[in-house]
Amino acid sequence: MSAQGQGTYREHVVEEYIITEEPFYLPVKDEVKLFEAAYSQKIPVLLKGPTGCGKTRFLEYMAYRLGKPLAVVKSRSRKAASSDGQRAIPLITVACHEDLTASDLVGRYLLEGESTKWIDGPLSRAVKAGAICYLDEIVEARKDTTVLVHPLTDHRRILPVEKKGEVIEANDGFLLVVSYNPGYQSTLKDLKQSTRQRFIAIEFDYPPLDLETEIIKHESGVVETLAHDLARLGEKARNLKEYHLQEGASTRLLIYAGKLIVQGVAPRRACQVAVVWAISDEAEVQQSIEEVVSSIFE
Amino acid sequence: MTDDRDTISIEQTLENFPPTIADELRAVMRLVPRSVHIRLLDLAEEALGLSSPAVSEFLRTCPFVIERAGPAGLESWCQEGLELLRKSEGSGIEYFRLGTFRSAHLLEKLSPGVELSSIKKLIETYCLALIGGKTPVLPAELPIDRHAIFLPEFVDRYPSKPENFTWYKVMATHQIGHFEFGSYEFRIDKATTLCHNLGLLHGPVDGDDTTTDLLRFLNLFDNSKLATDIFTIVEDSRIDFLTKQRYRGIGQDYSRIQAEALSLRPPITSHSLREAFLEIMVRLSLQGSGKWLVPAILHAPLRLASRIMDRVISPEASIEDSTEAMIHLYQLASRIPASRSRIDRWEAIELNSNGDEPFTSTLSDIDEVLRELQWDATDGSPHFSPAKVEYRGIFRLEPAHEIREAESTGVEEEETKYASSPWPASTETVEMNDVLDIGELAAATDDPEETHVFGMNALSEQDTPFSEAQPEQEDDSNEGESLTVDSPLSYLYDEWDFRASDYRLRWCRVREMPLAEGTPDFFEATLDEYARLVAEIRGRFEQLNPRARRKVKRLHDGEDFDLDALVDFVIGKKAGHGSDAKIYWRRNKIERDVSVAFLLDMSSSTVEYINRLQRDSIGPVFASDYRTYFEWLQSDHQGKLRPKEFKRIIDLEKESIVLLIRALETIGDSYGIYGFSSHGRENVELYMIKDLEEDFSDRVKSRIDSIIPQRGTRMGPAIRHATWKLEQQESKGKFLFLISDGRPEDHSYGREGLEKEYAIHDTRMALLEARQKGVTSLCLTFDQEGHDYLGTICGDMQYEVLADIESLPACLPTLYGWLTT
Repeated sequence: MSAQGQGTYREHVVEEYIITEEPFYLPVKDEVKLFEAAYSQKIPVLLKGPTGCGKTRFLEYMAYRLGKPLAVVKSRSRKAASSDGQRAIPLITVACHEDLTASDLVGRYLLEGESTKWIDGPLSRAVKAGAICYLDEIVEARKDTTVLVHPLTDHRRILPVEKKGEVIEANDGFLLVVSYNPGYQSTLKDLKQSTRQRFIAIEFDYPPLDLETEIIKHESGVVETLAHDLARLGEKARNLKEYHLQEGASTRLLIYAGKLIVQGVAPRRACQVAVVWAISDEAEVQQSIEEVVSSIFE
Repeated sequence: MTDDRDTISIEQTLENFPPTIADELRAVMRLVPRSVHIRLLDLAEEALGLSSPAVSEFLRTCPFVIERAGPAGLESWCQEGLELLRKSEGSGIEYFRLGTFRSAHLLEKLSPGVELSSIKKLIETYCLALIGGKTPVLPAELPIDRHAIFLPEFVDRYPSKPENFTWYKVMATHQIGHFEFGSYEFRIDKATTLCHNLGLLHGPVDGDDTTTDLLRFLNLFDNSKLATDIFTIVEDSRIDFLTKQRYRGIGQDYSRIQAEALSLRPPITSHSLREAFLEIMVRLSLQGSGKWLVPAILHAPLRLASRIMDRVISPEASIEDSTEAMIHLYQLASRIPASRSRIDRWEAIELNSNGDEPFTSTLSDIDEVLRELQWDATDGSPHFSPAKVEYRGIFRLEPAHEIREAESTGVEEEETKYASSPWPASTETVEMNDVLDIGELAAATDDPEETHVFGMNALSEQDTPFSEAQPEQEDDSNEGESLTVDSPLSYLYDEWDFRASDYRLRWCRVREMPLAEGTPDFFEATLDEYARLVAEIRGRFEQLNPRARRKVKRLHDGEDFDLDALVDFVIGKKAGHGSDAKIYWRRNKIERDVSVAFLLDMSSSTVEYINRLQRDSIGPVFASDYRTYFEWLQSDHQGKLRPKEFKRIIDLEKESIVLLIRALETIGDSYGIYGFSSHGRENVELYMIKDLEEDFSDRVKSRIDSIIPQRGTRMGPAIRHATWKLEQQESKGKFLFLISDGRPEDHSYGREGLEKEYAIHDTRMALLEARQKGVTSLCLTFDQEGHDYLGTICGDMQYEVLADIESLPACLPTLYGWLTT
């Protein structure tokens, strides 16, 4: 951690953003074991699943777990090493969008006064620092940008930097992880086979009722019965997927609802603002989900 | 005393009415509460002063209005109608007939009741959310469908809408509970194993696949009606408990409705012992605990039954528990005498529906109770089921009728039937055949009958042009009822009546019609003829297309250096200016996400010539002699006689469609092309030239060839239907191109026969509705006089009057300019 504000915010250099406290994550299946295996074998990972089901949280948890720093050293010189030889793994997240260019990822020359200065992009920095680089919503990126990761995701593990005429060999700790939501992408925006076949895919879905109850309870602090009711609301709203909704209610939204309830907002109202209005704009569908809410919550 | 005086004064007042109306009034008064009689007379009198047909309509709907909205509602509803009647008699009559939107809407607002139709979709989505599978909500009168839940068509049990809605909701939640909590997961093998274990059933059960497991199981019992009743009571009880437990939010309302149901239970006094026993079980199932006066002899069996019932009052209870409870209860109930005999001793019993101590009854407990009572096991008296609990709706045990499958095959059959004969060929048509070689007129039409139809249509319009107004007495469809859907591909739409400032409900019927296929030659010929224009349009479109992906220059950050800006910047630096480092460019990609529907006017008026000069020289000849016209049309179709400048509106419409298709295919937007024509409000025809989902093909090209003028121009319903079609699309941008001569006119498109204003206002309203639904409309016409109409119709919406097709290329990119932004 490079700088510490007056208790208002913290600034990190990207490769020094290390998760130091264990994120709360409840494994649903064998995803933890799979990821550990992939990491040790340097196999890139594709996380598939609907929005707000815990993909990012899983990755944070894995970054923490794999690095598990026994002693966290906060310094610029990157000596964050633990006594048993393990080192903390930084997590560098890039949100992909259709204007994301190769330079945005690799780096570019910027003008500085009378001269130019090369600035590494987040991918270069991850490759150098041995971080987990997480390209969120990879399909949103342009095809020419997506192709850029190809040399990094096979046996070569190199990143060509065309503008500088250089090639960076990836640090051993480096791993590329991408996420992808097959649900609402049009066929136009499907991931190319040549790209997707470079990753093992771990599929995520909303957690089963019991787990989701526990997650909501832990994250929001609501009592068990309310957490269970929220999880049931999630289950019911997801029943409308494909008929009336593009996406079901995410675990994230259910947690938001729980948090509002903890703050003293009435459960029905909390669900209305956090779930009903968030997942649909259609008056009739909203009304139907509100009826479900009023059936479940007192 | 007061009543007598009222009756006398009512009779005296009735004498002031014309005899027929007085009779109607008497009939109505027999149907409505006495308290409104005097007020009814006043209202009728007031209406009579304005219009006597209106009074008849009023009296006809009055009992229904009182039933729905009560006397106070009648007053408000009637006052509104009288006010309208003062403005316009026709609108007032329509109002009292409950034929207008305002009238129906006001009544709905005044009534505390809720109609199933108004909440059906809401309840359906609610049920879908609860159990995840599509469950149709059907009116309770419909035949059996086990995959559905059943609700009454109308509920007005309570004085307010929310309470009545809650009733629907509780009813739906209970019935959906049967699906959610596994009532239909009953498996006969499990149940029979249970029976075997209890030593009740020996030998295998017949395999019969025609009925459900549950029904087969219930039929195993000697008294299957009794078994069914007990099963229903037990299972409903389990569902009630689970629903209230899992849906705490609805719990309060649920309990209230249960308590109401309990209070409405019939008294026990008149029952036989067995009926009394079942009645108490129903009460127990309503989770009522209480003190009831019952025959003293039933005390022991009832206490035992209550404890057996408790087994299903548990969060873990499953259908198997219900089955077991039911088997036990049957053993008990079947031995209780069913004959109605005098009961000597009555004693109050206090039962609690959810006893605390866990209890597993055995058959020996039952035997013990029965042994003490020494009842005869066989009692041949008929079985009477206990009274229904209304909110529990219908628990279907019967096999599912294949309603939906039957329906879907029916649809297909009808569709084919419909498609092959859009209109019955009349004898007149056959006569025409002798005179004219219509076969050649639409040479490539596969179906000869259809050709006749087209010929006939064009001919009849030519014969009696709409400008010579239809005689008023024929104008009967104006005075009419709302329409109904009569075929799968027909749709109903309201129509705007500007005089009443209200919609006439379900007034027009739009039918989707197939269009015969001609040859693709017309398409190719047009492209050849306008080769230069095609090239020009393509050029313009290609220019238009990259604009959607243009480079944005002079940015602080971007894809690459913008060299010009960079050079400027460096020069500036060298020269000592502190100029801004906006030296990058970036390509901004705007995804085209557009659906366009083209509505092509195929009315008879499009037969007219574009040029006034041509119209004057040729038009009158054709108007008076249809044979000349047809001869011309026939040779015209073959392209022999037609000089290039002799173009009718329809020709230009067709040509522009060809050019438009060419352009649209270049930029790849999804588009549909529909021709429309009409003959009265019942027959608005929408010809499918290219549906929105359909790909462009030679068939589309061939259909364009078959576009010929037909009948009237009822634009409103055509626009509404095209809007509906666009609404089904998921595109962000939805556009409607109306290509017309700009004159809406149709049989009875207006109150007094042909009333231009009515048609224009309805069309305008249809365009406004489209705009509200996110559809941008543009009207395009080749008729130089179109300005007069289009100005009114389109108002502030866009319209273009094109002088000729030559101006199309210049105009198209402009049109598409705003389509893309």
